[in-house]
Parts: sequence; C-alpha cells; structure tokens
Amino acid sequence: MKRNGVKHDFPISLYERSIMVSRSDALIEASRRAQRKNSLLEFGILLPALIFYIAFVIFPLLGGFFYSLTDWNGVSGNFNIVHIQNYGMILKDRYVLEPLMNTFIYAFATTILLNLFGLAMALGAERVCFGKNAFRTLFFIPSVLSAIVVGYIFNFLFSSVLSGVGKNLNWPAMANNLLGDKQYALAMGILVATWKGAGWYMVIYIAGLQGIDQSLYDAADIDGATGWKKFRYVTFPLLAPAFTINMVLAAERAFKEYDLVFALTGGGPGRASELISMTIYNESFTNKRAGYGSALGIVLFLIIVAITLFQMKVLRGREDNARD
Amino acid sequence: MKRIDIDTFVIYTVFIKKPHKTYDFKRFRKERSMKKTLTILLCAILVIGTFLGSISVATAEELSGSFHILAGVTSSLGLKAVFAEYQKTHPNVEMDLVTFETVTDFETLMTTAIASNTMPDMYIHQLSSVTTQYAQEGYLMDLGAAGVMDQLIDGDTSLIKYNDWYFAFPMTTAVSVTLCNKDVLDSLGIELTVDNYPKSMDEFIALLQEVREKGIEYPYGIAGADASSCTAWPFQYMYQVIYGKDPNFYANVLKGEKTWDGEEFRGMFVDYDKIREYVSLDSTAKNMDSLIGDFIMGKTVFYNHVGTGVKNIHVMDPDINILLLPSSFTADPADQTIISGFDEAFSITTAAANPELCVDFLKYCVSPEGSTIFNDVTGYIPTTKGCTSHVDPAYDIVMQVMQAGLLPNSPILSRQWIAGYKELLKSGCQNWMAGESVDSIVTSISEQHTRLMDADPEWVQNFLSSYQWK
Repeated sequence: MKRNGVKHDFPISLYERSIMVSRSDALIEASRRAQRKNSLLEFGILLPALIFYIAFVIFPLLGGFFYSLTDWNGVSGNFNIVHIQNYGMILKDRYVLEPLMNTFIYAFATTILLNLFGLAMALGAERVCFGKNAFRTLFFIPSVLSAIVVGYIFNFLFSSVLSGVGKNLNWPAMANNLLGDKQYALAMGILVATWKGAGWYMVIYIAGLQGIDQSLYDAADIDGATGWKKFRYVTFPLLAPAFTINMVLAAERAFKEYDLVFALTGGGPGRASELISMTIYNESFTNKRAGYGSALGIVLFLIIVAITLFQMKVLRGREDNARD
Repeated sequence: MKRIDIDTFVIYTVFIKKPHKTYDFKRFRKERSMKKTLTILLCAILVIGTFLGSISVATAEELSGSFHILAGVTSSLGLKAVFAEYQKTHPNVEMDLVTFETVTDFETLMTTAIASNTMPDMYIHQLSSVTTQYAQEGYLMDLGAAGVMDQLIDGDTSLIKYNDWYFAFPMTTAVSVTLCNKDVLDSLGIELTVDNYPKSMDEFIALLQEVREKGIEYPYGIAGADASSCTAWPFQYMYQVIYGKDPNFYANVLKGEKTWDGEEFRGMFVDYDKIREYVSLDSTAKNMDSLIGDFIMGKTVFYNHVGTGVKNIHVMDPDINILLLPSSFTADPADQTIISGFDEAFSITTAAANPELCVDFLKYCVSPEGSTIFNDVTGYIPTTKGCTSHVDPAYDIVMQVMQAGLLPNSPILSRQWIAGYKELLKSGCQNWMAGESVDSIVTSISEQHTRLMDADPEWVQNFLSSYQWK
C-alpha cells in the first residue's frame, strides 16, 4: 500500500486512520489556538502605541483636513464649510507660493548637502587610523543639539564673529550680517542646517559601510582598482540602502523644517527665508486664518508623501540595480 | 473543606498566586476577608477625610484649589511676587503659571486652547483687537459684575469694554517712547529736560547729528529681526503723524477710501529714511537682545519702543540710567502728542474652573497692596487707585508731561488693526531696510492688507459698524 508516496508494508485500519485524522485535527486546532493567542498578545502589545498613534497623528490629521474645508479663524466658535475654496486660493496666492519655492530650494539643497557631507564624513571617519570614535563623536554632536539653540548660536556668530571677518575681508554683505541680506539669508539657513544635520546622516552611512564585505575590496585591489574606482564600483552601489534612507529622511525633514530657520532668520529679511511651515504658522495663528493654514498643512503633507513615494520608487530601483 | 467560588479561585491562582496542588483555602479566605476589610477601612477614611476637609474649608470660609494663568515674562515676575503675598492668607491656593514670550506665542496658546477646550482660567496680556475678539466670542467674564472695576483709574476704556461690559482690567499705562542711554548723553555733555527734549522730527534729527558729531557714528538703533522693534518707529509715526492728520485713517483704509500705498503712508518712509542715516548697517538681522546689548554698551544711544522695555534693560544692567522721551516725529512741535494707553490687562475666562477663586485673586492684584507689589516688581506705570509703587526715574520727563497735561494723548493700542497687520508691516520694514524700494513695499503692504481683509470680512464689518468716527 502506498500513501503519501511512501510505501507501507501493512494496511491501516479505518479505526487507526480515524484516530490519526482526529489527532491531526486536534493538533491543527491547537496550533491555530496558539497562533490566535500569539496574535492577540501581539495586538495587545501594539495597542497602546496604536492608541497614541490614532490620538496624536490620525485624529489631528483628520481634524486638520476637516478644518481645511472651513473658514475657521482660530478664535471663533463658529465657522462655515467652504469646501475646497482654501485649496483653490493656495494656487494663486503669491504670498504662499514664494515661501513654497523657498522650501523647495531649501529641501533640494539640504538633501544634497547633508548626504554629500554625511557620506564624506563617514568615509573620512572610517579611514582615519587614530581617534576614529573621537571623530565620529565630534561630527555627531551638532545633530543632538537643539535646533533652536543652534539657530541662536549661529545668529550670534553671524552678527559678531563672521561680521568681523567680513569687515577684514572688506565684504560689506558679510560685514553687515549675511542673515540680513535677502540674497544670502536662505543660503545661510541651508549651510547651518547642513552643519547641524550631517553628523546624523554620517552615522547611517557608517552603518552601511560596515556592512560591506572586505573581500570585495580585496578583489578590487587584485583587479588593480584605484581608490575612486573602488568607491564608484564597490562602496557607492553597496551603500544604496543607506543612501535611500538618508535621501528620503533628509527631504522629508527639510520640508518640515521650522525651528532652525525661525531661530536663525525668523523668515526674514522680509520673507526672503520664509519656509512654508512658517507660512502655515503665520496664516493659522498670526493672520487668524486657521482654516487656510490647515489647508496649507494638508498640501505640505501631500507634497511630502508624493516626494517620498517618488524617491522610494527611484532609489529602490537603484538598490535593485546595485544588487544585480 | 469549605466551598469556594470558582471565579475567585481562578483569579487568585492565575493572577495572584501560582496554582498549587495542596492549596490552603482556609488561609485564602482569611486573607481575602482581611483585604476586603482593609479596602473598606481605607475608603471610609478617605470619605470621612474629604468630608471633614470640606467642613473645615467651609467653616473657615477660605478659598482653596488652584488656578491656571498665562502671563508674559515681566508680568510673570510681578504675578509671582503678588501670589507669594496672597498665599500667606490663602495657604490652600496654588497658582499654575505659564509664561509666554511674545504676542504671537500668547495667541497661539489661546488658539490651541480654544480648539481643544482647555482655556486657562485667567491671563494677563497686552490689550488688542484679538482680546476684544475673545470677549465678542464670549470667552471672557464680565469683570464689572465681579466688582473690581471701581479700582481702575480714569482712562480710555475702549479696549477693555465690549457691549458695555468690562472683560479686562489693565494693570499698566504703556507709553510709546524714545529710550535714551542717559549715561552716554551725560558723558557727551547733553542734558535733556522737559523743556529742551526734541519735540519735532527736525529737532530729533538734530539731536542725532549732535551725538554723531560727538563721536557715536550710529546713535539710533533698530532690531530689524524683531517685530516689535522693527515696527515701533512706524507705529509711533502712524499714531502721531498719520493719525494726527487723519484720525480716521485706518477706518478709511478699511472702507476703501484710503490705501496703504497712498501719500500719507509713503511719507512715513521718507521720514524713516532721514533716521536710517543714523542706523548701523547691520541692523536688518539684529535681534532685540543685540540691540539692548548695543544700548547698554553705548554703541546705540536711542531707540523707539514701549516704555516697559526699561525693565528688560535693567535685568541686563541694573545700574544703567535711562531716560524716556515722548516720541517726536511730527514736523511741527505744536502737533506733538504723547502716545499712551492702558495695557497688560487681566481677564478671567468663562472656562475658569473656580471663578470665585480667580475673582478673589484678581481683587487682591488690583488692591492697593497687591498692585503696589505688582508694579514695583514689573516697573509698570500703575493704573489702580491707591497704588503706591515706585516708578522708574527713567519716566521722569514722561511723567511730568503726562501729569501736567503738556501734550494731548494719542492712544496707543486703541487703534485696532486686522490680525496679521503687524507681521506684514514688519516684513515691509525689513524689506525696506534690506534695500527694497518704497514703491514696492507700500504696494506689497497694500496688497497683503487687502488679502487679510478679504479673508476676514466679518472683522472689517464689525470694526466699521462699531467705529466712532472722529
């Protein structure tokens, strides 16, 4: 007799078969029960976080979306539903489009610079023979400082130390404080953000570098690859996952930036360095247009989601190519 | 073995003790009954304690509990001092004080509090169109009914009243002034008195020139990055010059009969330009602390602000001698006014959990004793009857002018602006300081103001319907 591809020398009686079936049913049932119990336990562990997430993320998001459809001024107990009128106004409001453009410039520049410097610092810190940890710590410290504190410190540096340097260099814009010059204020914000954040991205790149198999470099050495070629054909492709994370996070954070630029320039002079997050705040709280401010918040959210998805698609493709 | 309820047993064995084959049910029952007794005893103690406590509170007729109050930096210092005294007679009262820094911080706190229904019990804040809006929305208590308004001295009550009821009790009269570093002026041999201080734009410019000739290249200071400092001069100019010519200027703007790009407002930048020559070139990005630093070090001798700024300077340098001068931006000395009005006012919200306590504390704050403590700490000019606080000598000239009625009053803050106007004036002034043309600035201010009006037509309508044409 052959059963399940195994030849048995003796037949199994119906009784024995029924016992086996009932036993396997019981085992399956027990395993399901255990699985259900595990799922319940996992859900129970997840529940507090889920409750907080719903209360502090989903609920305000839905609330923000609701208010974006109203003309609420942030003070009154009454408001009217204006449907998508706020969204329509955004498209032709140059006092919103200008800060939005500043935000795109800021996000583009900081994303590039943070990754460039983060990677350079990671490679440098990994290569030094002595004081590797000291360098890593030194580079990482600015990223643990409060953005507000960094903003105020640099504000002071620009108005005193760098102003003195500008006087010596006979460069009036620097001598009179670069933060007060409409041409340079946003650029200075980008530079300070890079100084503050690059260390954080360096850590991710260091983790990526440490995951690269040394034998690949040995093989490249045998093939006579130079330092640049090793970086171009070994290091950089294999850093793809770290690169993806860093690019996505840098862009997302840049679009949400508020505190650093607020402390540094306050969005000025005029609106030269105003980012969209500041416009959202000003419209909501200063101009008493909470409905319009909420609509701007939702638009910013959608921009971030769209850019993140686009980056993920492009960079994941690059990761796949690197793996191939 | 006695019978035992199976649920209790399961709960006990599963959650409290591990199951044991030879479990002693007798001991379990004993323990359980002991716990029950203890729980009942504890509850009884709590109930009796609360009952006795309430009796003692009631018999002593003493208020207890806590109240939540918002206050600015300087007022917080005054409040702490007043509360320390108040607590001596009200040991069971606690004050939950939240300090904010700027007007925008306060309005942000209030907006989020309104949205989440967590308004503070009280606040003390600068009077403005926004606080009037809170009253209109029914968020504030009628202080007239609470019986505290009798303590207020005479003055312009337009910003503390709505529909004939009082929603705020001002603790100070703010004066918009020109602050001078008296020590530097003394060292340069310049003595300013009530007779010879500058009384017109030309006289003020002449004073700036005199100080420059005596060695200080940039005697006038502006903190371009700070909204209050950046807009202090323009607001003072508007109160004195623009409103001097047309007291209904803003109402006319809201009505569409005048615009911000008209000749009057344009003229302000022409006069501001005369002062700009005496302002250091790094002022556009300067913050208030840097300006005060320059003022204390004598790099800057004059700047325009509200007189309450004296307190902030004394925090950094207690020994500095300051002199406050009435603003002097009119062309003709005969047109000069003093810009002053009630400011920093207490309000109690309708959401107050313990209104009796809030009213009681407010009564103490506005009493001669409480207001003296408050104004001594804050350095504010008092507004309460019987207050004997010490006024900073910096106010000497201003007080002489006010007490002798030498200048007509141009009420500060009584001019209500649409929400967001100060911010757009700040942007305009910063752009002007950064080199943008006057044409572009006034056009932009005009456009943005129209944008604010379009966004809140109700406010415009309310303003115009309740406006008393002059």
